[in-house]
Amino acid sequence: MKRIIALIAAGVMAAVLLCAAGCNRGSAQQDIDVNLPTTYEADITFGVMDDPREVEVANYYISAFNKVYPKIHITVERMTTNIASLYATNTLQDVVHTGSVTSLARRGVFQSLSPYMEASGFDTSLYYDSMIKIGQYNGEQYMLPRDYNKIAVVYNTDLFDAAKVAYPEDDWTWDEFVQTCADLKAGLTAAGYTDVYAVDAMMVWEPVYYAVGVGFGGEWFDTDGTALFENLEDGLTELQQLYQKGYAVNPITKTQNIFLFGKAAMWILSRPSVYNCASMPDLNFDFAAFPELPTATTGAGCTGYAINNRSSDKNAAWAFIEFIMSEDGMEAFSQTGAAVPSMISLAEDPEATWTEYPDPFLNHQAFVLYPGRDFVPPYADYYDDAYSTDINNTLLNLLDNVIQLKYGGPDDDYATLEELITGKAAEINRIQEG
Amino acid sequence: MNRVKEKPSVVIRNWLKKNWVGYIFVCPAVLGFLIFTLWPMLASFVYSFFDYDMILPMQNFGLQNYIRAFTIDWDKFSKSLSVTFLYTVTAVPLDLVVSFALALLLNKSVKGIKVFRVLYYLPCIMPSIASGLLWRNFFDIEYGLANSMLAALGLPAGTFFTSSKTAMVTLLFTSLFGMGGSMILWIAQLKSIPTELYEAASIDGASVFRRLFQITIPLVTPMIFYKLVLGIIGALQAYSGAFIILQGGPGPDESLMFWGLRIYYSAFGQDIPNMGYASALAWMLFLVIGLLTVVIFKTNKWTFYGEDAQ
Amino acid sequence: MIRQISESSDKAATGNHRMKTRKRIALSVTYFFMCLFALFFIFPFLYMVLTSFMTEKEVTTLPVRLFPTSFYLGAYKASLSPQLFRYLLNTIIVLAVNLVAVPLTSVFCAYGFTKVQFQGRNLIFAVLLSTMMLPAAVTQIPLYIMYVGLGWLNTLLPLTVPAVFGGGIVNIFLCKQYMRGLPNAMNEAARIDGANHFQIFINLIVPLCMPVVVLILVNTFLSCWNDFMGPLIFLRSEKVWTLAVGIYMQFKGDYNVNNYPNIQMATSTLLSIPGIILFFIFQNQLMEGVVMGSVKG
Repeated sequence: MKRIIALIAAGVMAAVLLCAAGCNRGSAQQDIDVNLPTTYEADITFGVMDDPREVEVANYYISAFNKVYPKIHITVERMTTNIASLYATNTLQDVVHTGSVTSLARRGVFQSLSPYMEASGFDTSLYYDSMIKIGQYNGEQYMLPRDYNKIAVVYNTDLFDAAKVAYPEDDWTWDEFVQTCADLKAGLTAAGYTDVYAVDAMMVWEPVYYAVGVGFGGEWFDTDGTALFENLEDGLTELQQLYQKGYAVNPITKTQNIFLFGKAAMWILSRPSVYNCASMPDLNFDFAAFPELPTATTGAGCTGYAINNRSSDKNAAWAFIEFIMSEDGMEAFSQTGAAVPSMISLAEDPEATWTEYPDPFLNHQAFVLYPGRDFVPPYADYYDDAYSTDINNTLLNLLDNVIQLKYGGPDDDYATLEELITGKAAEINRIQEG
Repeated sequence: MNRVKEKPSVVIRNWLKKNWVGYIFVCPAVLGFLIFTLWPMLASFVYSFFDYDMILPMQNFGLQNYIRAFTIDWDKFSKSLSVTFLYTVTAVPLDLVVSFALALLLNKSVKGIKVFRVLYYLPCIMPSIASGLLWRNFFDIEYGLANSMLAALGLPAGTFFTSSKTAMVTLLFTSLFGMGGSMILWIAQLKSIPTELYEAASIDGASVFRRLFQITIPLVTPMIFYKLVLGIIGALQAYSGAFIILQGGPGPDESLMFWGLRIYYSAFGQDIPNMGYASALAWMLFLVIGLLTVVIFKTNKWTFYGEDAQ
Repeated sequence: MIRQISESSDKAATGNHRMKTRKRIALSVTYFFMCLFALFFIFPFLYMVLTSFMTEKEVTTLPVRLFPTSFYLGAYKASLSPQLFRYLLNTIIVLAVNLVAVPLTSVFCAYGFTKVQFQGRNLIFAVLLSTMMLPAAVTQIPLYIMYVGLGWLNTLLPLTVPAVFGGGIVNIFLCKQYMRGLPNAMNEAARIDGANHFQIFINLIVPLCMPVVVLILVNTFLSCWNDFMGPLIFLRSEKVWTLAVGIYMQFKGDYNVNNYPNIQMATSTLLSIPGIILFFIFQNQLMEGVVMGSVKG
């Protein structure tokens, strides 16, 4: 009996090891050719994030692309499981829509785009530098950005009118922002809106808290992923005070998007969320740029497209990505109104088609002003996705404790804010030692 | 006289002839066991000794996953240990005691008793997603009925699932509604106690309490044992109830980070899975469950089986 | 003498009267507590149904009330989206396969364990029974990897194929308990008449096992209908989500136009209805089955 069990175990282990090893088939070698003829025939797949609107965007791209390469047939597929699983089973699409590249590039999931860019003379200066950097790892480009998502402020004009507060200006500072919150709180209460907040400050959203932390002179992570968490007290205290003074809703316990339902006068958002605002029929709103922080930072991010390292036709995939990044491709994207295109000329053109959504008379420039302030949250670059859940949970925990003043009390773990911050930094560093 | 040694092939053939029918009948279950239980068990055991993220082949054979739980990951792992054990030592006795009390209450043959039993069992048939959504909405601190009810009674608002002090208690409260199922089990067991014992006891002048402690409880010890074992096995791996209510989160200050949830995060909750670590955690959980079960079985001197003893 | 007897019978009469009132009080007290706890247990269901009739405005204005002001059906309308029907279809497919396969294989295997003698019978059954101790997580991870490799994650196969292989040890155990109670006399007679095990199984056992089959059917229905974690892990494409996962995903996150408490409760109520109907019809079998499965064999 024991021998049988041992045999089974050995057989199983062998099977498992074979399986794991055999799943790593090599990709077909193809010479780099960036000058495909317009009659080139190919059949490639395009993986988009699991959202019906992304399929719409993809179709815009494809119909514009097929005007140039009518014989390259592209099938859109929604990626329903994570890229790692798809890659492991060779079902990852040729062109992949992704946000972060480091962890995947590190593991060889993506094809480096740099040789293609060099061969075709790709000009990266046409695009926002901060966005281009997001797609880089180890000096090579793995993802090219399609949009430019900077955070801005949307405000409810009706509520501002009711509270008799002046509309925000694009060049307002953080102190003016806080003052506006105070005025709103007083004005709204006087006007009878007792359950309306001044702002939904999205304090546990990475672009916001990273930017505010850095904006007051702090530093979050080092380039190798170590959590430094220096000088963050000022920035975090600002966020804390927004909640403690009653201007902002508690971001962790809120269950409603209060701005959309008229329960907040301002909301910090990025361009893709404008769609949600536009779908609320009774909402009258306009935009203002994110207030100026002392070190002038504003959070920004992007998503873009990469090539699967196991794709069988990388030339066709490159042709598609090159098209997406070209003026025609960017124009197609602009027409969807989904987000701000990453091409600078198109983003800063006040007459560009993306500004027509939802209403051409809104202050769309709020989303593109002050590109020099862009601060890209470094989480995409520095720490490995294998620890992302734990690191995110720890950061969330830090913010939760800061916002609700859970330090210094008798049954709190930390006596001062500084200790809380250093404690959480140490936790994150420990997680990454694995 | 010595038996003639039969040829091996004849032996095998005879053995097959005797047994093949039985094997055919049980082969679906046995095959299912081999494919869907045994193979995965062995596979996950193997994975637990490697770093496996599904993209690169398995690498780094060693104990690093097990060591990691106790060193690098200790903050989170110890938290999940304490949460899981806290839940087990409160939920299991709570269920035993409360459902038993309810069974005593409902073990009468009065009119309409059947209706009451059905009503008590009703929350058990609600799908877990329905009750999860229900509790999530009920205990919402802004728009939930719980706080509105407390306010109407003049009591301060509760923090329920948003504070680490109250999250576990709230979760245990929601588990109270599942007592109906256990109650049915108890009623069945209670019915099997012959009434002559009670009659004899009351003739002898025994009070209600004496009857309870000297007759009822000793005679239901088999059921206590059964529920204890199953209850512990279930409570140690439970996490889906809290998962639905918190929509996948670990709770405030990770106060509801169950062991099972930790495994889920490592394997399915991240963009890059860490299958080796998840498997190691799963196997450690299995060991704990196995050990506890063995301990309970070994210390099973207090179960009374009566005439139809094993 | 007669006076003594009449005196003692008087005492007995008043004693009886006291006993009766005491009993009546005890009964009323018992009834009171029974009703109190009944209210407690029925409360979640009540909350669910009442909230499903509220309007969106009502559920977001403070203070939140228990009773809706009117019979608003808009929440139900909103919950009946095309996706819901897609999820329903998927759930029905899974149910269909399971409801056919599980009772069949359970009874089939249980017969083998009960009425057929073969070597290793008890050992094999004990090993199968011990899998109850196994946490689901230990097998889910490699199964996930296996299904990824087989490409099953975008299909319903992970939920249907395992059902064909015995349907779970608990069901086999239930059948086994039940079959033990079947008299062997008929089997013996049939064997003497020359029938083999398969014939006995099909012609004698299966018809007799109807009660436990009914129980297994109901249990299988309820467990498939309510299964959440399995589909969450193994069904990775929106087009194959079952009701439980689909509803979870739909109502995940903050409130928005499609995600209000009343819509959530309306969908939940709809989801609970089949279970409740089944329960009312098969009450007795369910309660008996719960009992049967627990008595240590």
